Amino acid sequence: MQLLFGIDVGDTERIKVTFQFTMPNSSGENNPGETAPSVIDTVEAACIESAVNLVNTFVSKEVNLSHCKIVVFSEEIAKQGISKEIYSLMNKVEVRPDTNIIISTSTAEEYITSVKPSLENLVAKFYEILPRSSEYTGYTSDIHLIDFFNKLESMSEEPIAILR
Amino acid sequence: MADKKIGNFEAIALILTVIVNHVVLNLPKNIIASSSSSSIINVLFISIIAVLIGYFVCKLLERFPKLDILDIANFLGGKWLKILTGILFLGYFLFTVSVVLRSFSEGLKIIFFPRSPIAAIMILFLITIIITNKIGFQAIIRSNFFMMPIFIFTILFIFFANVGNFTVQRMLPLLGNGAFTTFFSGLSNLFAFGGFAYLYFLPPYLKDDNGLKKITFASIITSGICLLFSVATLLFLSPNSVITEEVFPLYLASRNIEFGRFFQRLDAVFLLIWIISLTAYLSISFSFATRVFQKLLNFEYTKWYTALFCLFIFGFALIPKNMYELIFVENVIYQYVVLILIFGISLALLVFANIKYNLLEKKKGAVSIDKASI
Amino acid sequence: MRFIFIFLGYIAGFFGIALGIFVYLCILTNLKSFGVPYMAPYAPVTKVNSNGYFLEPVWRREKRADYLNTKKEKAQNHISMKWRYK
Repeated sequence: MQLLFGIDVGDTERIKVTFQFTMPNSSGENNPGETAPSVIDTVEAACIESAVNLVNTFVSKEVNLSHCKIVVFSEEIAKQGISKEIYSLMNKVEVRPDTNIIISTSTAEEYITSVKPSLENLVAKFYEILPRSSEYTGYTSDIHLIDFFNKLESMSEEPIAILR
Repeated sequence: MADKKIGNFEAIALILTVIVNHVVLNLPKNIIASSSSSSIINVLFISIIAVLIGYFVCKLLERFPKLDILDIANFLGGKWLKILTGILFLGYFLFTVSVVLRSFSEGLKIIFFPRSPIAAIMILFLITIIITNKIGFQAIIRSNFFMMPIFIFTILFIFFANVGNFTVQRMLPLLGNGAFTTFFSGLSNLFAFGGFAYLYFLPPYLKDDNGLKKITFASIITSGICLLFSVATLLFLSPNSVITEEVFPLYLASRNIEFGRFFQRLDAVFLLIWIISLTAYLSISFSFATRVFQKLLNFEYTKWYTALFCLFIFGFALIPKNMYELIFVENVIYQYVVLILIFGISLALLVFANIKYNLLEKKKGAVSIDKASI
Repeated sequence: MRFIFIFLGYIAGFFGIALGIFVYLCILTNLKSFGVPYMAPYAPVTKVNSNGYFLEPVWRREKRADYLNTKKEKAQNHISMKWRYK
């Protein structure tokens, strides 16, 4: 069950994609302070499709992007332009249009590996509730993929995303 | 075939099927492509014109109670005009079925069956159409009527559930590409009201003789409301350049609905309901096509009509080789076929028939028209 | 009966089940039991008030059902319990 993925500038190929998977049967744990185990993989590819293909070869289950909640971009690739990745994400039927977009100041791989939510047991719930905090703070906002894409395409608005 | 009668509400549902199904396919996209932000005004304008045309058609059909357009063509010009009109309408029904079938199968293939050949999906639809046509005409009409409130409910639901994502300012250059494009060349958007074709064939089947007026007005107004809601959803949701490139716009609009953690990805339910509505539409068109054919030729051996026509439709539906050709067929050819045939030729037929009736009445005093004579 | 739906679901997924529902609905609306159509308050409709979507609960209905073609519309008089008001 694939949870989120992050996109960086790659060393040998064009982009470097990081996937984070969680195991579904450990979501009923009662021990406080112990987070569910999650697996993080990184591959380098020329586009998201080929990255998914590569990850499919060494992960036992079929990677399905329909539970994906967050896409993390690094700041470097955001400065280079992410419209190609946004287009390919929007064109896939599996990706939900309400996934959130986060831009991180470090690379996406470091961001994903270092996130350890302190008030939650499950990483999934953390990522789901996180952008909702825009309802009671002003410093962040709840940006979905569809909003970002619409503002990218429209000639009268500019796209915005969360910076962490 | 024993003609059984259909009631008022079922006839309204019959004419509404056309618009509901085209709305699910590519109709709002075409309207928005031609008149970008004035689409709502365009739709209102077209609905008013359609109501006027409906009133006109009702008045013209008043002189000929219980006769459909083939009989009127027979009265006007004899056997040959009847055969000509019959062939035109038969071609229209078959063409519609194949275009709609191909269009929806392409959309289904992209979403659900990316690795299957498209012929497989179309064959499944065709088998269903054959089975339901063997069951009977009245069964299809009743099940269509039964499911119609659900179909309309989905369209309204998508509108109201997406309210959070709307930016109403997209309506704002109110006249869009100019007043000329909105009102004058926007008249070609009248092809949305293709349900008139069923209205011409409806009078022999009605239980209630005076119901034609009620049926026309009710169905046109409801069609207009459905069209308005779907165009408004798409217009407010995404900018123009996004909408005109989408494949299956209302489905993509339905993917944005989320009600917290319970109701995620409701689009599958919508797709189920739209598949059912589309099979109803295809079955109805198909049965009308077989009835026109039978009326033209008076064969007694009716067993193999369905299989024969299915083969034709399958052949027609496979003609466009890729999406681009399909979009061309659907936008350009279908638009002009509907406009010319349903609003041009049929209205002219009715007007001339009325003129001939008036002339004959002055000469003889009373005119008798016999039904379905060759 | 449900095996047909399972089989259709296996062949064509979601799509097959939807087609199966439609064919099933067509067969249902064609049935007649004792001369009354099977989907009686829903499918053939003569008056708006006796449509299947708008029917009141049983304890509130005053008129007899429409599909029966009865001679007397109401089974009871307007004041049915005459002994109450005397």
